[in-house]
Amino acid sequence: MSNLTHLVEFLAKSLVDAPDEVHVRHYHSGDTIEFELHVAQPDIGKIIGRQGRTARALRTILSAAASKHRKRCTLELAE
Amino acid sequence: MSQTAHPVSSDSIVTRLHDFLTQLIVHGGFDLYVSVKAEDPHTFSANFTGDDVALLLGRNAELLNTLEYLAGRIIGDTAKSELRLKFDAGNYRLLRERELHMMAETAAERAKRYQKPFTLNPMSSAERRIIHLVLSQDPTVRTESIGDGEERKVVIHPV
Repeated sequence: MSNLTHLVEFLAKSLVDAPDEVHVRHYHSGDTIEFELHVAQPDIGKIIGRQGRTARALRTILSAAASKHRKRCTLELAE
Repeated sequence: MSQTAHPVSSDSIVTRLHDFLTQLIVHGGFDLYVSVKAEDPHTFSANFTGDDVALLLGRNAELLNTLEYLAGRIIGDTAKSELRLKFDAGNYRLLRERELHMMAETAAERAKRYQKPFTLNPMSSAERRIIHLVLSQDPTVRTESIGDGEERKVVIHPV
């Protein structure tokens, strides 16, 4: 699922001030792929958005892309 | 050249929006094509075609609305001016607007017939606005929105 990693990376880098500090790791657990997104501390608010709306948008896009591969996924934000 | 009124030209916003959406489509592996144009200096439309239009329009166009929101966040922040984005696929917006008109009128009739408030399903602010507008013409009902965030919905009261 490296292309889904690229999708998360691309979206996160588009949102933050410090794109070089965006890193994405992924883990497989059964049918689910868990993505872990790391961004610079001052950029965390940009990823979450007002009332968590931006984070929810990222999850919606990621889930739609994953559904094409018949996969489920989760996205966690880590410092 | 020290013009400050339009710091970013609409041509460059069209290009940026098109680049952003094209990259999103490629990275996401979506079967979609997008065309972008400037409707006026502040309004930009994107129209999607392709096999994954159904994916965009599922669950009341959740993905289409999400892309519209996220593109606004990303392109709007760099454009430094108020941007209005209108994303569409398969003529969804027009068809949905007609559907909302019918829902508003049906719900108003029920509220009047039973003399009881009628609550519609949760909707986005743009959709709630259409309901309020349609029923603002009808003096026999009054509308209000209740609830927070994703759960916000229109209630129609008989007057």
